[in-house]
Amino acid sequence: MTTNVTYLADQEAAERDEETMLQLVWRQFRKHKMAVLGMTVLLLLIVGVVVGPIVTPYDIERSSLRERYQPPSLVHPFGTDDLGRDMLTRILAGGRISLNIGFMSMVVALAIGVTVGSVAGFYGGKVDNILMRFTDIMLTLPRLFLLIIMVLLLRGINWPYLQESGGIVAIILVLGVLSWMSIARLVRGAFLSLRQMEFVEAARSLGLSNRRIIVRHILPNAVTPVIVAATLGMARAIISESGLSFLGFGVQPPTPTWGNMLSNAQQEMLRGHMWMAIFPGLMIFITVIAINYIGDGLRDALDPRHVG
Amino acid sequence: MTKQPLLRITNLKKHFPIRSGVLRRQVGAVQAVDGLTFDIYQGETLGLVGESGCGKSTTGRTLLRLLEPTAGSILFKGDDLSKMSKGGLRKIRRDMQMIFQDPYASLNPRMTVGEIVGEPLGIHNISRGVEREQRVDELLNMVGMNSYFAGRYPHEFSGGQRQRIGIARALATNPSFLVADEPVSALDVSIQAQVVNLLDDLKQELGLTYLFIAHDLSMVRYISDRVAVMYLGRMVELADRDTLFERPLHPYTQALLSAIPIPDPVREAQRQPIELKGEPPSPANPPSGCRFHPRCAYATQLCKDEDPVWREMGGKASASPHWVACHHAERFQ
Repeated sequence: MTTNVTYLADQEAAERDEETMLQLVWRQFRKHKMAVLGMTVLLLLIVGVVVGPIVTPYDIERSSLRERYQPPSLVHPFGTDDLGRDMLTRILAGGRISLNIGFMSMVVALAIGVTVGSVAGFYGGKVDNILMRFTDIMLTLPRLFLLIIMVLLLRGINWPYLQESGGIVAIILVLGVLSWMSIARLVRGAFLSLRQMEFVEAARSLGLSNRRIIVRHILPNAVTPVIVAATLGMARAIISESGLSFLGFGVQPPTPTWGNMLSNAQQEMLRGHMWMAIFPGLMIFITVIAINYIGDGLRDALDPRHVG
Repeated sequence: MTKQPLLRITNLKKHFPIRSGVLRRQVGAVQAVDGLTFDIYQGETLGLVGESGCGKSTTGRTLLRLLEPTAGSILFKGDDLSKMSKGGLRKIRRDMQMIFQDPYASLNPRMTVGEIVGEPLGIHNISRGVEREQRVDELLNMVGMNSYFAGRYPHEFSGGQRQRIGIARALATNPSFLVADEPVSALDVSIQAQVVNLLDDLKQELGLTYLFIAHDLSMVRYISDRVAVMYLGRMVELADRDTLFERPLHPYTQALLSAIPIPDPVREAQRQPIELKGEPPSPANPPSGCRFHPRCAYATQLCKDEDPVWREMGGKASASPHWVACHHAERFQ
């Protein structure tokens, strides 16, 4: 027995180039023109916000009364603000913070959402019921109201790390804690159908622990919708941060973010200093649209109907 | 050779509660498996047949405690699995494995073949590193696959190849008992024979014991040493393969066997299948007495009133006991 026959079909399969899942996804992703454009724009932005503030001759915070309200020129491509600070420099530095907040708050939301969703979907029954009713409650509470209350609450906590750089960490936590619900629901739904699959039963019959079954067998198969949701959620977090800052509850000046720069430009717009509002607004717009297109592209590329 | 029971199943039951209403009160139970008593001998292949929904797969899964038994005991090498703790159960899992029906659903699409086959080795601390890779290669060769494929993903393989991978995974921990849950029914007919022969070869070589669940009677006749027939959650007959196929004692078995086509046109034309009346009843609301009585041509008032006892009928001295659950079994001897 133990025939060592190599079947013809096997040989053909062996000769085919090995293509990993990642390569497959990338090939699909490339077909989505806008997603590739979005990816390029986002990469440029990231390079810009990382390198920009280092390269620029201007300081982010030092004001100069003589250079106030300068319209865009060769010296100050995006003009200067009410305190004579270079807008381009501040926009790049603010981009660092805005992108950071978008990304990190998504990480927080993912951590909570994936945990809640996995546990609810895997164990089912009472656990599922309790966790999902909690999720529903979180979803029904008015978001903006909660955002503001939580920001104010965190401001009251005397923990230096939270208040550093205008309270970035606090904003990240608040945004993350208020946006995990849709991810939890997605993950739970995926778990509910995946836990019925025979390979999960096989894992159980092999003697694997629940933890390992969740982490190693079910999660990797549930990751597709989560990646898409997380990408789109990142765009939403950037908008939320702008909104909060605009209302004065976001990151506090002088730490720049696109949101508080916009907020700062409120009165200036009426006085004809349009550039102070246009450039931060444009950055938010471009970033969010780029991320949304990437999300769309990922959704198409990761769709199992294309893969395989 | 004296036959040693490897598994001794006594009065095994698996009921699924039916809940309804806002309060999720239990209003009934699907009696998927209802009181099975049988042994599986060391080194044999026990075929388990029955129509869809009769509880074959539930039996297999409950034996491995992938489903919690409602009642009864499962003695495996002297330990009662039905009362075993989670930890003890995990340890004993390396000794009993399962081969699944659907080769497309039973392999994790995000793991490579090497990871799939090698995972149980890590879980049970059997081997690591290079040693594990060698074992994976050996296992793949054992099931007739090229070990070159260890780095590939399941979607790159055909159904038959995937089933071989599933078998390699089940064999990784050197189990002594395997439940094969319709291992070939999802495969092309041309591939079925290959896989069944592979299972048979592996059994000879590794001294395995199988519970082979199937609904294809000729396949069961080919591979089994003994055959058990289930109907609506109960076992109705259990005997040596040849005894069962040649002298069935239960009317249901007789009806099943009469449905097998004969590969001889002349005799096939004369074959008169016993047609059963109606549909199988729901296991949530089984008939009184003998569960088969509403569809049985020989049913009497006794069958309607009383549950037949699962009893041993004397066969030839050499043959193993012939078990049957029918009031009128003597009539068919």
